[in-house]
Amino acid sequence: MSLHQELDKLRGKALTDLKQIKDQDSLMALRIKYLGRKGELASIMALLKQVAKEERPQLGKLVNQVKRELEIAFLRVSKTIGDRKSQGIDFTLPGIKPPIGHLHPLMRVQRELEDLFRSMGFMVLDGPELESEYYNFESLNIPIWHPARDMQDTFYIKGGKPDNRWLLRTHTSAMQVRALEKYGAPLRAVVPGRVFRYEATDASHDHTFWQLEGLVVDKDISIANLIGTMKVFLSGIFQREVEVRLRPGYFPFVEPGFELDMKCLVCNGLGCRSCKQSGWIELIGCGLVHPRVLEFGGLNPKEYSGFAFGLGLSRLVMMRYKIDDIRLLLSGDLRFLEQF
Amino acid sequence: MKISYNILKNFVEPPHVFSAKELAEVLTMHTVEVDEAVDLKEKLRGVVVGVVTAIKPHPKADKLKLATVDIGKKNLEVVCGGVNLQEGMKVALAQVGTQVRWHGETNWTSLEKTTIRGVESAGMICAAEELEIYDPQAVKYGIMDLSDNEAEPGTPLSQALGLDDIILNIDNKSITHRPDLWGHFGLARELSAIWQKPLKNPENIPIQNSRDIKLQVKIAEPDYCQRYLGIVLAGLRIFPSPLWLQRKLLSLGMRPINNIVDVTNYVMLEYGQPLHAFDLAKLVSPEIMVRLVKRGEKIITIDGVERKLDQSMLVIADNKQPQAIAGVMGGIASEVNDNTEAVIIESATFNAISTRQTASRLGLRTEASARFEKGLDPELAYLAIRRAVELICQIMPEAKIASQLVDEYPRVAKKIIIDLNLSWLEKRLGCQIPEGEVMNILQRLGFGVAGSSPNIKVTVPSWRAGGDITRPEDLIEEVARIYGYHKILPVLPKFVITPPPKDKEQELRWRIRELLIGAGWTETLSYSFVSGENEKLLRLENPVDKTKPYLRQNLISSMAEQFESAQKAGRESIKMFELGRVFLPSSGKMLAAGNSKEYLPDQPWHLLLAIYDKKAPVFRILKGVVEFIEQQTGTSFKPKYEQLNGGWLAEIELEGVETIDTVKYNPLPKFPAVIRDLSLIIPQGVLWSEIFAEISKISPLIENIQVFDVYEERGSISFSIVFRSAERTLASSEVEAVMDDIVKSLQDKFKASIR
Repeated sequence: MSLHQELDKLRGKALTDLKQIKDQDSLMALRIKYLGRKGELASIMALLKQVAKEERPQLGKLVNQVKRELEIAFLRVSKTIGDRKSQGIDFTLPGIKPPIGHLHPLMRVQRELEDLFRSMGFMVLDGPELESEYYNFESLNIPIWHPARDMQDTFYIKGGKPDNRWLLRTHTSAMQVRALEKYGAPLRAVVPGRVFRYEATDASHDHTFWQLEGLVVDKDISIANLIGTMKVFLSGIFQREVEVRLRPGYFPFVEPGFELDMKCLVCNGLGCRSCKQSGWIELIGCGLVHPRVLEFGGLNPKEYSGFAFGLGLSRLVMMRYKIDDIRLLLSGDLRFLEQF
Repeated sequence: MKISYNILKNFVEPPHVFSAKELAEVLTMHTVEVDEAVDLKEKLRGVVVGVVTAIKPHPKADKLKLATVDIGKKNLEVVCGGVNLQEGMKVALAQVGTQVRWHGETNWTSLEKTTIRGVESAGMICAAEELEIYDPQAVKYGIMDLSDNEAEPGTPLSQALGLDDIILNIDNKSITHRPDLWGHFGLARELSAIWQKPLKNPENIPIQNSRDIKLQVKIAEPDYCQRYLGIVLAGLRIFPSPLWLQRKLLSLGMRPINNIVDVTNYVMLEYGQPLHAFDLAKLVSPEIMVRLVKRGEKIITIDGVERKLDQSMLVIADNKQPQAIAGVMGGIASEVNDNTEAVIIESATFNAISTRQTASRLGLRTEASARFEKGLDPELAYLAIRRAVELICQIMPEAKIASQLVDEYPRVAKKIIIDLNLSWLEKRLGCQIPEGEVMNILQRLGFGVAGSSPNIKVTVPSWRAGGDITRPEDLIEEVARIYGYHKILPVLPKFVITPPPKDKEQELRWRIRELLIGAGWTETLSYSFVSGENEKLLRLENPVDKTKPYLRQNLISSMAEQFESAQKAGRESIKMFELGRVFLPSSGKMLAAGNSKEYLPDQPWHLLLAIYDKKAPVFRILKGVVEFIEQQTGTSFKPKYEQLNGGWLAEIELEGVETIDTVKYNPLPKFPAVIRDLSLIIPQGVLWSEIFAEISKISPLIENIQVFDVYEERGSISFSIVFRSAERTLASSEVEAVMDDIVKSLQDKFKASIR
């Protein structure tokens, strides 16, 4: 049998065998059998040396042709086997997820606010939770005899001095004078954090909750500046243009003091359940920094003015996720936490 | 505080008819926060006065009757079970559609046409209680009897009873700084400024004097009592007040008592000036002493409680003993009772701070002390006593004035005059208000304005001079709130662009959160309050939960509960963490005041990791995650590991932890590594750290040793040893020689055997 004939026979046999192939493993075995380093085609090629010199180029060409043909045939079969296999995957099965952790919803929103304020050039400050009467009340223009002390029921701590008792801060405003003492003016800062009120708990009250305080002090800061800044900030948080309104509000450390309401985003001011039919949502207590507070912070109120604002972070979280019971926030209930 | 629109209208005429919502809005936008505005008329819509013209028995029920009720335009057939139903009786008839509250129910429902035991009823004859109306003559299981009322059938009940009113509920916190707004008169004064309508000042008819009784008042402590007015009224007969007065008090949230006490309370609600009436016969003599408490004095107050007084407290005394705690509460001894014939009416101005201190020391907060502690206007005291005398004489014509009006006014306050620069005002507002308008607003609010632009002199009216308005900043609000905040357009402040400085500790905490969440851990937050008996813990003076009076010193103590309840809930795998402050008795770095040398207790931030898993080697996972954070953040922690209920916890202090960027690039190795695995059975008590140390020192060619399998129960451990040289490719014979050394040394030293 000539080499020529042997090649033909090999080609025919390989192509017949290929038709029987159903999976990649047997395909691979077949490939080794015919096209492998020690396969049948290789042994034919080894015989080329024994052929007469003048016949070699033609035969060599033929061998290569057969080789290429088989390669393509193998490839084609390989592809069709691949297709058949991929049809066996159920693409609708759920993906296998990496382990998932959950950021606490309070921290989720706090992070968002911090980022927003940082982008507006505000420092983010962290203050002590156990405070002195001086920073929590007195330096905020709330002397001992002031009726406003009753506005915030306070947890007192044993220890401290009788004229400057220790307490758990009732508001993040307690950082105002600390910030002024440390950084002076001009100042742009926010203070997020845990605050405490001595009160009974129910679905909408907890003795521990989160606030975010903001303070801006510079030359010639005005009410118009306060409104402008609040509008930008709220639009950033709610990712849309918001309408706000100011109305009188009382906080001893600002003068004048305001309550800032945001037009209800659910009903657009028409009145609905979430705004208790008023069309507005009470969101932020704010005002121009009281001259006494500037003085306590070591600044001259004739030279500087500023505004301060405080918002209930816990309330914002509850609004955002429609959480109906504030106590869930510190419950540690994983069924709650794992939803965030 | 509740406010009646009708009483407001006695003092100021509204420019048009206001709905409850509009009225609330006007006050909220310009003056105070209105929590709720209830239109009584709306609440009673559909309820009319009717006359029962005929009564028939109900064919199927003994206790029910069929009444024909004339409601003016028509007659209605109504089923009624009231025990006092009579022919000719005037009744309150709720027509279909009215909101009613059934006996014993808490919710309001809309009345529908119903069939009661087979007979159709076109409405309901109501009991007062079902409409939330006070009725002193109410009969049990009876209906409201309106026979005394003159109203024609068909008249709306709200009109017939004078309940045609809007009741506003003012948020008291929003008037903490406004002593002038603790009564209707003050709010009417605000509305007169807003509406630009004149305030109807009460007619200043002088009180007639009498010399029957010589009333004397001595103020021993003018610092504590700025003004004291007193007058004697005699010929009194003590009865329940007329119904209109009782209803008015009830709708404003006060319980009627008797005609004298009711008048003093009503005038307080009208004017915001607390009054007191002493039974003259119970005093030693008509001599009033306003003085401090003498050592050992006590008083039984009208609530029946005996109260020990201290010498800082102001009392109103006769010649023998205290008869009232000034500005707080009267004594039971001289309380007005059914036999009282003559009273001294007191209208005084007590010092705000001392009243507040006394009330808080006694733990006795009253309507009176809440007002005095804000700092009342002494001028108000006169208006109020005049009104009280007028009202008593009006409802009890036999009453007569029996003394002079005594007016001790030792300290007339100086006028407060503020220099206001109008261009400064404009800067603070951030908008321009015409000068004329600024002056006009101030004048409407009762301020005196003198001088010319830009520097004007503003005189503060007496009712705002109690500390409320003392400096120009206080005037910004006055102008702006009447002008309207909505007219101030937003302007962004001009800032220098500077990136805010960063706080490394805060950044570390955010980074830790990110890493842990990426690694499958869930963040929790727990309360700062814990139980325990550790005397070293900081302790609350007034815990809400008496079983948890301490502040947490570590996060384990506060988070353990959450961890345990997650386990109890049947969780097979828990990975929780908390970042929070803990509280230590030692001093920290924060000063207690800017000029003090005292430091607040240390309050470092801690991180707590808590893990539980029925199947996995939790300690190694925990240790692994701690090492992972350390490596990723460039920190080095001192974790405290602790076992809890089969789970493991790691508590880490973050205060003062340094973050160093430890990422270091090493040139890639030029020569390949050779890796050999080894599985050992090691006797109990031998630690991995010892094996590791032993292997490490055998050859400098050892680059790394990594554990990949551990069966602790069997004492089996498997690991890979990586060999590499920086100068050449290692021959396998070289590595085998080292491996032999390693095996031999482990066998000799630890009695380890190859598996």
